[in-house]
Amino acid sequence: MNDDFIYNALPEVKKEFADSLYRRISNNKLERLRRLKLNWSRMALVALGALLLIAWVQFRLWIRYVPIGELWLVEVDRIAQNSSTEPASTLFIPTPLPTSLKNRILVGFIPLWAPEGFTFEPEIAGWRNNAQEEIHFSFGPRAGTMHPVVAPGMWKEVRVDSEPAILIYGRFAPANPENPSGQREWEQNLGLQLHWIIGDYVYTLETFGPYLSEQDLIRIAESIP
Amino acid sequence: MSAFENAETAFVSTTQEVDWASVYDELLPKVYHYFCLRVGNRIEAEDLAASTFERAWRDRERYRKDLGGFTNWLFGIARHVLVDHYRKNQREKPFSHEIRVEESIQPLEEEAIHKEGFEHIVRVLATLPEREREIFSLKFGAQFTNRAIAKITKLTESNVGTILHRLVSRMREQMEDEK
Repeated sequence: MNDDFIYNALPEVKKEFADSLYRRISNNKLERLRRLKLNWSRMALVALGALLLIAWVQFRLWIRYVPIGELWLVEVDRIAQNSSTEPASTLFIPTPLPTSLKNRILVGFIPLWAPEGFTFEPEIAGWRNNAQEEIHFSFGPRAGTMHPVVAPGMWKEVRVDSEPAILIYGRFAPANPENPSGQREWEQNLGLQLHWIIGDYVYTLETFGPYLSEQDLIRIAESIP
Repeated sequence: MSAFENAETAFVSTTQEVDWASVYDELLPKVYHYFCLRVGNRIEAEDLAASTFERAWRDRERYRKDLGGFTNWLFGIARHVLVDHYRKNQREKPFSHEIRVEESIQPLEEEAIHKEGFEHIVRVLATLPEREREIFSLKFGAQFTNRAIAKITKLTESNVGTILHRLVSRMREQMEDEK
């Protein structure tokens, strides 16, 4: 079958057409995007990652975890507005014990030295003077990790028996009765807090006013037998 | 670097090593000729060929080598493009799916012979039923084998051969008569 006359009759592809089509497809901007594999799901993941990064940075600006020895300090720039979630001065709250039991348990754990004028009172698990100024002492197993919450800069690292300890200046002021759900501010003059670890126990000493020096507080801590 | 030049390396994993630059060079004339024979108009054939390649490029990730050759896949797209074209013309200009001989443009002397032969073929094709036009276009435009055409049209290979032989003989005779 001689069919050359058919092939010969077919019009040739115009070069301008072939070139322009080639360019049109090659320069398709959408195609370039597809080549970058920027499909919607991928873009959503990137956006989510960016949001998480921003949230993480913001979170880090508000809350900083500071390791001190085996303790962790939590520095908080902003305090929750809701009183039900307001942070305590420390997240570690020892369970109250009956006085008789305290007497027995504390033997062997309580510090032997106290500042002049202070006497040990088992019912407050601490010392009190005639002016009703108190020094509270508590301890508990270290299994429950303690994270004292502090306003920025209101603390320093000290040593108790050469071990790292946290000394905190002040505490959160009591809630305002007129605005109990309002933000509580840090009050630097509301005493001192000392947290440290010995063996398997976490210890805390607290005062509630400017009646004791930090050296005296550390001395009490170091007098545990 | 253009997309086609880049295609071989860029789409190895998705299109299983389709060399788009070669595909374009080799298959554009076939697709174009297929449409020339189907619609009888070079301008429309260019538009349809462009649509075919644009759609193929857009859908390239759907091509699966294990389901058939690339040429078959591309001409599958071409035939869809043609159906869409007929459907659109049917809405806008009823009966326009009939083959139309393009209006005479003053051709260059060199092109005149080609153009005359092409117009003659188109005139003959315009008298043929749809199925025979498709077989002729697949054979001389797309350059498919009789076996491949038989598979597409669901005829026997010998049947396709007979139809083509008859068509070519008829065209030759009519051309000689016109001379």
